[in-house]
Amino acid sequence: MTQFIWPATPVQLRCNKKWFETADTISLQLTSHNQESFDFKPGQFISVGIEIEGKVEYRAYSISSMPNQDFLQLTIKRVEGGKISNYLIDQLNEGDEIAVLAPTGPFNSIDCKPRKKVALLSAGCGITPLMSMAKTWIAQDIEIDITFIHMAKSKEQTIFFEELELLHETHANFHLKLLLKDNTETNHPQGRLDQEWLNTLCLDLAERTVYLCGPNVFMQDMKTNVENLGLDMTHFFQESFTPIEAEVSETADASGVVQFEVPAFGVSKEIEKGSTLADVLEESGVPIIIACRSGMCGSCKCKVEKGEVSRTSTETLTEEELAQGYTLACSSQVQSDVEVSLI
Amino acid sequence: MFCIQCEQTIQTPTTKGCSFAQGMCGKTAEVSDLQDILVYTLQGVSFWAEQGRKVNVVIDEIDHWAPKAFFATLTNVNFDPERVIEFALQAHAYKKQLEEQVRAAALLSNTELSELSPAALFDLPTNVEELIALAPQAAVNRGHDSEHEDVIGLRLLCLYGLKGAAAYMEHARVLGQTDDAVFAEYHQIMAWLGTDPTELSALLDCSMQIGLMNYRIMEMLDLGETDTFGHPEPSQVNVKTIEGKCILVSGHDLHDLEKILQQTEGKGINVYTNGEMLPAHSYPELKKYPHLVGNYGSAWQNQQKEFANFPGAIVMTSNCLLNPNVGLYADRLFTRSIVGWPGVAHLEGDDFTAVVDCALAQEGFKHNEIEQMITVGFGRNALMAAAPAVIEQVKEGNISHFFLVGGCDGDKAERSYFTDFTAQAPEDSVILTLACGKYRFNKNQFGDINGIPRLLDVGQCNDAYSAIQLALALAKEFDCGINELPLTLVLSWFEQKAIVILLTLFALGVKGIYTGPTAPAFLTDNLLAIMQEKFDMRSISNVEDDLKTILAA
Repeated sequence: MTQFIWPATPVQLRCNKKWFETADTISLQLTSHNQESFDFKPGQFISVGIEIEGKVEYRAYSISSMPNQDFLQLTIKRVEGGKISNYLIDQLNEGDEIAVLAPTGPFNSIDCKPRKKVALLSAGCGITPLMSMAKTWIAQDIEIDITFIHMAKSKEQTIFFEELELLHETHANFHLKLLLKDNTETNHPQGRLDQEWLNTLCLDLAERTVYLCGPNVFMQDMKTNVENLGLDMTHFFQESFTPIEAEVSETADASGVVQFEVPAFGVSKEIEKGSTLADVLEESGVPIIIACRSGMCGSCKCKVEKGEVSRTSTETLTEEELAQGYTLACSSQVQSDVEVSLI
Repeated sequence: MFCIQCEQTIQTPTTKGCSFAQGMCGKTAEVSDLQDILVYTLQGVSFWAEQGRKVNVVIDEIDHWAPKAFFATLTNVNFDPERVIEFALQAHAYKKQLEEQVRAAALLSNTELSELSPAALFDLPTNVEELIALAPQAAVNRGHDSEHEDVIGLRLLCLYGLKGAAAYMEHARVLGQTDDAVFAEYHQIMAWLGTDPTELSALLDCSMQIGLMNYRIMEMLDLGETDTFGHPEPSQVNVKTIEGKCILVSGHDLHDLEKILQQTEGKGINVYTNGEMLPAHSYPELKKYPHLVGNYGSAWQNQQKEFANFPGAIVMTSNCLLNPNVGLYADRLFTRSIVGWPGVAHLEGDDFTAVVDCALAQEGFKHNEIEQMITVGFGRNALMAAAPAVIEQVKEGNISHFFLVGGCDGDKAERSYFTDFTAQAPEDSVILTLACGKYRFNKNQFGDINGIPRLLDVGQCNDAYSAIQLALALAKEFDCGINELPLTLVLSWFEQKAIVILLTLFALGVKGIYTGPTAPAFLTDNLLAIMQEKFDMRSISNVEDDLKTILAA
């Protein structure tokens, strides 16, 4: 099978298959015209561009399949008010084509090297990159002991539930530790993941390389927990972005109208609460550079002078810049009346 | 788009190069693609210019124009798609003109011409929509799917190095300095790069050839500047503002500054330098104008704030230009020569009336700031004049080490290294500096060593030529090679002029150069290892450790 060559510009891939993983989450498989295989590093994401109202908008989604297969699998959760995710869930049909940018992302099992033992730690839709890592290690017969810790609401709402159980049964080096808020019809424990649970589920966590992905608040809590449990943090890696729309639903109430001001450019208008800062800056004609749209490159740095935004990536910003109110416009959702400046 | 030519390009463990809707510099994918098309067409022009030399077809107009057009694709120079299209169509026309004449001359003299290179075969439609569709063929990393990444990396090193050299050729040409042998060599290299070469050793040799050619070009530029404006002499420059109407001149082109000074005489307008124009204050034929009052602002990455606060007209004579709409000063900005921004007034010719009128219509500075003087002007002659005293201090043990700390400035926080480095350099060391990287520390106090200032500002980036001359003189005096001198080069890079200066230093055999803040994204790990092995090139780490290593050697 020949390998697909990623161009530097967006490429059209075909949605070959699409199915529901849970009531609010789909997986879809993308293939190239010539059925080539896709190379990427397990854990990486691709950006998908959808034209909505004449404008192409990009969102990043982690790849949930393994490298060197003739498809790329994305797993996408419904988000209240989420334009792109919900379009992909509701409107994209098998046979349709979508624009995709090459896989990228520093959070992957190649650049973030594992020790002999790893702990994969996720919640909700954050399972996708970790699933790619785990399946790849297993498929490649790499001798790594994997503890897969995942938190979900219930069996029905656990993405990849059956696949996880099967991996657990068939592979001695794969230990599934599922923690459910409602554990009806399962043998998995019921609870909410905190430091104590983490320690209970994985006694030797400090000896493992830890990979973490999930909603921002979850990641913040878990990072602290992992550190408290004595992990040498050079063996800790976390996803630097969370799928933008997923994060909005977790942390913010996206309804309502707020005031948006950029005094230097005479911009003063009402916008939807939860709007992405980059979008409203662009729509207002403010000259901001927006390159990657995934919170990686840092080109859309701007300053929130007043008000609140929620952030899904702070990748290129220093602690000092964050303290001063700088933010990445592509990865910031407006949560209150805000005033923004570029310099 | 794919562009990886400057230091701020996207670089993560997994992604290298700008390949989205805009580059980190703000140029759009359209402009980037058009620039690739322009460069590829210029490689075709050079193919015919090189063939032309076999049959005595040399067209001066084209030789003079081609490096200038290449310069227009340098980082932070031209963001205007219309201007880039103009350059590309002109390149195409010149290519056809050369081809026609060369083929005719070859037929007459029965001379065999070389096989057409891919660049020579690259043909442009006159229709703009069709033109942009050719971008993938012209991409600077074309062949990346079939060639080894080291090959692509070295091709880019050569291409970007040659672009830096082309920029200096244009700066020299403006001052009346051209050389047919240099034009011939430029075309030979450019044409060869248009064949998409694949042999690593040949590419590496080519990069050294570019370095050596650039040494000659810097010499020409030095001659152009000193012949026209006299030799730089140590001079005090006020870095604060004074009351009155004002014009700010930025970029590298001293010729433009002179014209502006002449045309503002007696008009009550103060002229300030910005960025790389600072050394102008030390040239006798420029400093003689009393209304050249001082230096304003700092390095290019701060211009959106600094230009916004400048209450007069601003002239951008070369790189680095940033989006003027961010600071809302596009209406009082003027671009020159290769520089361009959509919607910003572009001036051709030597008439600056529009700039003068704009300055008079602006408010000007309302008050005098308390003056602060810095010293500039340690160019070649001044350094040579000081050399005996310097040598004496070295022999008496009062000067232990020389550092050359300079290069381009940029936006990254890591660049504070260069400020810290100069602050922590031992007190019995002398620091030479050049280019806009100096703004990280040139307003700090360094004192002197028995009358010799510890900080010596050599000039613009191309004045690396003067620093090399001083090093050669010291080596001669102490009867050793340059690498045996207690001299360490600590260079910051941002764009392609810095790349070619690095190639020049390598080609001259200078070893152990420290570079930062990061390695060029187009150099692979293998290539960096080669640079380390061949030239002992070192990446900066932290000031304490680096100083310890340097001074222990």
